[in-house]
Amino acid sequence: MALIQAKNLSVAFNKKPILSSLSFDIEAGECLGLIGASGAGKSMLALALMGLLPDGFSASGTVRLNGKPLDLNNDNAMRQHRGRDMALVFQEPALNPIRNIGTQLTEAIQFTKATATDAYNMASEALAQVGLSNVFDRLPDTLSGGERQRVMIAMAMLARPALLIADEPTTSLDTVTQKEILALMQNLAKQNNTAILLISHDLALISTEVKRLLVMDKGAIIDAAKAPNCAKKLTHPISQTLLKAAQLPAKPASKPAASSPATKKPPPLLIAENLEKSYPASAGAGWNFFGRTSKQNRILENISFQLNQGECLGLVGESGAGKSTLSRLLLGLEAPTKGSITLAGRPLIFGTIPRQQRRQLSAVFQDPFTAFNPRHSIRRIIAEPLTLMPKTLMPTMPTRQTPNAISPDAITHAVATALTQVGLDPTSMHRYIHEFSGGQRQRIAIARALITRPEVIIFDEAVSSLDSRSRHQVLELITQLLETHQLSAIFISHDLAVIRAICHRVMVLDGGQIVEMGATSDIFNKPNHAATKRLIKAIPNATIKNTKKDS
Amino acid sequence: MKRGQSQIIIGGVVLGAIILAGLLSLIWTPADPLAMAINQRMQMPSAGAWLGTDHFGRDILARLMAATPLTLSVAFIGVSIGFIGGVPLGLTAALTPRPLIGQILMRGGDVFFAFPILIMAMLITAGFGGGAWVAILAIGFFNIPVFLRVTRAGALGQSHCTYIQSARLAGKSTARIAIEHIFPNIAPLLILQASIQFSLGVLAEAGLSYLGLGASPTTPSWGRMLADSQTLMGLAPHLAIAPGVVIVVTVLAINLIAEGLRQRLDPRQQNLLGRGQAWR
Amino acid sequence: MVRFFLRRSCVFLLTLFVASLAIFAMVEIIPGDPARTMLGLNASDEAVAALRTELNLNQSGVRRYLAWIGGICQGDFGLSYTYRTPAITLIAERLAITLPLALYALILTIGIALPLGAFAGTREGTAADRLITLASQFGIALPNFWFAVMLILIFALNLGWLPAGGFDGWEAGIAQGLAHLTLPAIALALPQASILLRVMRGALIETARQDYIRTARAKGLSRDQALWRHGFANALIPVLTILGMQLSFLIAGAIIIENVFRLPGLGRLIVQAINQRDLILTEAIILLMVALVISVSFLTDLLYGAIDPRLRRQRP
Repeated sequence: MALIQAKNLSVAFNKKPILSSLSFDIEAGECLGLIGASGAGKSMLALALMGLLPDGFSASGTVRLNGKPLDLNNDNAMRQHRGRDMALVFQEPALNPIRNIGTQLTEAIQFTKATATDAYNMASEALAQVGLSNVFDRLPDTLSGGERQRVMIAMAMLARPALLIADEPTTSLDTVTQKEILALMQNLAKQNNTAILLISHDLALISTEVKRLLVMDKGAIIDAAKAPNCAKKLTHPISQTLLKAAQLPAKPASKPAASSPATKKPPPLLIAENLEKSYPASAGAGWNFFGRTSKQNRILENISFQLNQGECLGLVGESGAGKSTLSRLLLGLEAPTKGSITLAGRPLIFGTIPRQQRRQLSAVFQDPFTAFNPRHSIRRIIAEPLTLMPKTLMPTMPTRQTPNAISPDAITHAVATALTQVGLDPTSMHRYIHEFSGGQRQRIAIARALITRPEVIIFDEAVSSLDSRSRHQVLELITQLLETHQLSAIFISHDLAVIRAICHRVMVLDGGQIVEMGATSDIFNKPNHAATKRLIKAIPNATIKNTKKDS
Repeated sequence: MKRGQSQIIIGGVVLGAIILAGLLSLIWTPADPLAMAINQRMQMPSAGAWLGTDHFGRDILARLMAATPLTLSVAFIGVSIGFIGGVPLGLTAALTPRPLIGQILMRGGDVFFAFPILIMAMLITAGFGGGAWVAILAIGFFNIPVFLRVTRAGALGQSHCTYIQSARLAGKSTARIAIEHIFPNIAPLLILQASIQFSLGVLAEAGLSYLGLGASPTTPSWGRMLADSQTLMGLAPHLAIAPGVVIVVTVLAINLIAEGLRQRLDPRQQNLLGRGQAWR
Repeated sequence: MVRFFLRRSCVFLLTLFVASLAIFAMVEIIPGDPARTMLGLNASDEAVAALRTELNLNQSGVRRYLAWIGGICQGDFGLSYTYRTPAITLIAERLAITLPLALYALILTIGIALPLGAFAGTREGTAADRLITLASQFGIALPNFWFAVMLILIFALNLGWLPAGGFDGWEAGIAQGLAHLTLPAIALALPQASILLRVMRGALIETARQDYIRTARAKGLSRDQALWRHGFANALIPVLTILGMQLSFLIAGAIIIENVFRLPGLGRLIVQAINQRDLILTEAIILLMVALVISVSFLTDLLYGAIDPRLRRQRP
């Protein structure tokens, strides 16, 4: 008999259907994958199974746990199962910020009438199992995201539940940590014969982890497949798009090096030399009113590299490697402690970058939800860098009577062109940002980056918050734009698969230093440094390994 | 109807009526608010004097109306001083690249904050003598750190948004970023705070004139009328009721508007499954 | 923890210093000649000169400030000009009424606001919640001095349950004293309690939406357990902020309420002092009140540390 038997499980919000007639089984000890684009209703299913539907939502249909029907809408009845038979791990490792880790772990045990010492021992053991020691008395904010997710798993596995529901458990983590967390979950589940319901939008990430796969779309289960190679057995058109999105092809190793060596090679566009960045050790900004500590935390050390004309250079590293600091230095938002950056033959001046250099450099950032002023129209958002440019720097643009400003018509025209270039309707310039999806927002961000016709664009985790489908599309767009406009780019990411799909060369950052640099294919085929090997191993893409075989 | 709209409309209508009555008093009142008639003192409400007369025989309704412009404008100007002074300081405190300046502004605000309106008014009166301007200044000074704190907190909340970084990268000056990006996005928050402070300002003005620290004793004022009525509480309790009711209704109307604004600002209802739902 | 305490203490002392400077400047330096102010326009030049000598007004402002603040540090607040008694003696007498009154009001505020706020906050949208919220709207709009007048009208003059005002001193018995302070304390507390109640309610509702509450629920805690074990302490942080401010409003509010109820407290004393232009006494009382306000916010800061362990952590 299956562990979970769901029959015609539906969820409605004020009579409006959210999930419609889901029927599926989960066998004891198996790992079942549940895949779907964002908004497909995956999280709602997880909450419904736990009996944790928010106010206003109600479930119908039958769900049996070990043959006994569950009363999903009865909080008290479901409470007997939560944390004991069934546990839940969320995307965000949300812990009470003002309670220490130990207390939050033991409290669930205390309700099972274990003594305080027993609870302490069980909690310590659970923490040890997830590879954490000495965290019992620490507060959540002193742990990294990955460590917090380990705590969440320890908490979920405390009572050795029969079912662990993991709702996008690794989406907010970098790829290396992702891999570790998934392995850890699998391992613990095996030891305790716990079944896992693994929910994700990323087919590549989970297709190798699971024995069976369900695909959801618009609140219904539309497809299913069994291992091995379950991803390839999916037939529904929507599954196909998910599958396509999961496959990031490697960039054909050709272009810049191949451009005829006979012609004079243009000088590098951007040169970084011996960059170093340190912060005062007590970085608790503002607290330090009465004294200054002399201790320094060195974030970056000895960073030297060149970006050639027309090249896309990847910068990869685990979280905490110093990527975002380096990005801020390259953008001139912060000054390095030591070293210099040269942009198109001129040294980059930090703090007040001259207009000329501003035009040459632009950026696309990670979070599509905080990247735009919600009160400005798309036209104003995209045009912002342009309106700050004196006309002399945009020679092709017609002026107004006022000598040094670009005319509104020219701006409108430029915005329309930029929108077309990123595949959006030019008339959308009069709309506001809340009307656009995450993928469209990143397109708008790219349009803004293109508007001053820059020479270098820095993409700082530009596709990391997108679901796999929009990620795929945006990456295609970026590749195409870089080629048609002969742009140079630095592409920062924690995900080597993304880098591989788009960059000619890669540098690997670890512990604030560049530990490896070279052509993308070389790095992939012959990684030298341990950090690079970790990153390659963590690529969440079974299909890449397949494509390797194909080629 | 949008959330909070009904509160804003009801509060607005009531407050509007009070403001109109105040404006009307500038050209017409049912009787001369200053004319004494000792033989008709402490009358109960009647057709001749709708709310009765006070201990000097002056018409209470006329005095209430005549007091309205002063009270409302004192509170309004006071809050405006706080707004105009506090918002730029708060933006500076949040955006300055030098933590020391931010620290000094915040600590300076704390010093101002240590003087409640009443104590501030007493301090000014002790040094410079009384008058309606004392109330304005006291309310204004007290509100500067209030707006400083709210603005700083709001601006810090915005400053992690990467659109600020993009603007910086495009070469926008910090001042323009503050004006074009941050201020419009925290403006609703500031308007909400201003409406709350306005209602507190009305209460404070009434309290100050009750103690005789506001307008001069002969000028009609809500607080003063209450103070006068109190000595006669045993004889004519109705004198104390009318001014109090006017104050309560005014403050309630402003608070209702504020409540409506707050509900509009509340991002809770925006999505079904996001942070908005109570997990219970 | 030690560093947290030291840092807060430094800020506390610095604020106190700047505030004292501001008070002294506002009363004695900026307006011009304090002796002339105290004696009024009709005073003879000789009398003014005599007072200037008595008050050492011929010295520089800095030296006078140092002498003033130095004296205060030793408990000497100067000699009240109208009463010809040390200001500290007058103040001490009056504090015996004002402090108990403020404390009484504070206890009432907390006693009313926290339970009702928690009750309403855990039942958002129910009839009971709406009723409490509506009542608190009225409470906030209530000017405390008018409310005081109404209380006198109803409970003292009409029902005769409690005294209408005045104070016979604590010698007359604690019960008697408390009876005289009850109506004033209610008048002070109810508007403040309405504010605090709404903050408490809002904070609880807000914490109930946090993801860690969901985590706690997934662990198997019931709604109430999750809220009480994880929501309450987090909700107390904003409540504490407001409470810290409110204590200063209670102290300031006591000035008005004492005048309504004719309680011979600090509030009555300062109004008299201002009317009689007794600058020495005024200055002393204002400094004391401001010091009280600053001390309260210092204590609030320390309490934050007690509730939120993140704040007292030793920074690496």
